[in-house]
Amino acid sequence: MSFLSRLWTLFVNGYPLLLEGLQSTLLLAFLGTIFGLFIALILITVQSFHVMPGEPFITRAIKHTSARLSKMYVAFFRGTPMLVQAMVFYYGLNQMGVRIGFFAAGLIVVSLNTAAYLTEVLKAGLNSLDVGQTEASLSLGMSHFQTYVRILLPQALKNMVPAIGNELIVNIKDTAVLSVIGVGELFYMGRAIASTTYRYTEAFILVSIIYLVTVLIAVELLKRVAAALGKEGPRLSSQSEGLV
Amino acid sequence: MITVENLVKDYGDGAVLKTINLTFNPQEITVIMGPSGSGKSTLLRCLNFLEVPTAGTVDVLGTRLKEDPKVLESIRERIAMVFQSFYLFDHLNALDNCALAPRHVLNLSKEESHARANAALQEVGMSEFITRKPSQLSGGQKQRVAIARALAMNPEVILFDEPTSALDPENVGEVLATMSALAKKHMSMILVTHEMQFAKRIADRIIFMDQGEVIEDRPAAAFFQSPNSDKAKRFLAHLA
Repeated sequence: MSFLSRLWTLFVNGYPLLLEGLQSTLLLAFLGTIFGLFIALILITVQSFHVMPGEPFITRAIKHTSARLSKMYVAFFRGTPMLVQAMVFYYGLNQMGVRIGFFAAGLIVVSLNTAAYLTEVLKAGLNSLDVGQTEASLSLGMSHFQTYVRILLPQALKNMVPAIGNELIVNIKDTAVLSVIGVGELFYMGRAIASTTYRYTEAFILVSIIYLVTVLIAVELLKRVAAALGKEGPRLSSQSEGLV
Repeated sequence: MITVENLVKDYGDGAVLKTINLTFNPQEITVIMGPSGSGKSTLLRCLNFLEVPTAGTVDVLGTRLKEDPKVLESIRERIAMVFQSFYLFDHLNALDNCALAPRHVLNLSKEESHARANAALQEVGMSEFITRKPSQLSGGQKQRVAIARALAMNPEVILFDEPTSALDPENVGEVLATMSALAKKHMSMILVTHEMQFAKRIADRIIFMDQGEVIEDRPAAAFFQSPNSDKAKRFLAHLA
């Protein structure tokens, strides 16, 4: 039997599992990016609080502390592998007697991890805006918070659509590490097929092809979203930080 | 209306403003002139605390400015500013640029703030462009929308920071015409500008600055007829 036909047989026999895995992968990547974005909005907002000398001490103290905590969070999640975060989170919860499903555990880890990266993305987006946008808003009597919510954040989010899309693509691939805590995503299913058929190479090539096709489709879709917003979409080559 | 006492601004490498004392009066059109680096824009930005002075006091409309958000917000909503580079909100169309602060600072209803914005845009001749985004406008049009954004707040005074310096020559005229129309309505205006002919036409008073100091502060007609200082004479001769 030729290599290609072995690959095909494997696909035909394994596709219910692979499909289930792909479904989990997409759900984890998509929901993880969405939840991550919401958490990132909170994290970047507390980092963006403007502290004025004229404010009461307690206000300033709360702003300083929350900003510091947010930065520590980002440093931790960007500074450790998601694989290790998943282990710590899953076994940590288990040890404390908290039982949650594999998928839920995986989703929480992806979301928390994505939040850290998107916080940096949003920070870059905010920093890229002209300081004149802030000055014009303040000169009209808007508060720093109003300026942030109504002027800066909408522009930063719009400018960051390609980078957020990029994060989604990273997540499609990086959720593979969640197989270590038993999340039944695509790579986990590939491993299951490999170990039952002993066709390791074929199984993992098959999984690679499915990842590649999925990512290519996602890139194409994101390009259209970005084009609708007048931005350049993510690319599969020459990304500096995207690992694509 | 605005009183500045012993104002000093120092960024750490020599004072940009050296002990400025000035009073600006209601319904007066004051033009601040001087060579670049003389501190005129810094002075203007101190009047609404976009630049916080190193020393001295600024009293605006009966309130002493300090770095307290409540104080600054309550004063800034009454004194508008027009910037050299327009700084329109890039994600909003012309109407929303003008309606935003009436809606969220003055807490007017959506209808009222839109009415204000429409009226202001009409006043600067931009009614046809209310749905355009800043990126779809020429420099002159952007600056007119920026002036409308200021007008929509019904300000008691407008600060203009070199409003035509970033414009292509063919766009300067429409912005100057807009400002002239405001001057005719006795709007209180404080302007930093290099447009000498325009200043001659509309200014009541000229403040001439050099190297962080006020060199002359006189009625406009007298200043242009015979400047007292050699510096102002040379400056005028150079621009003429």
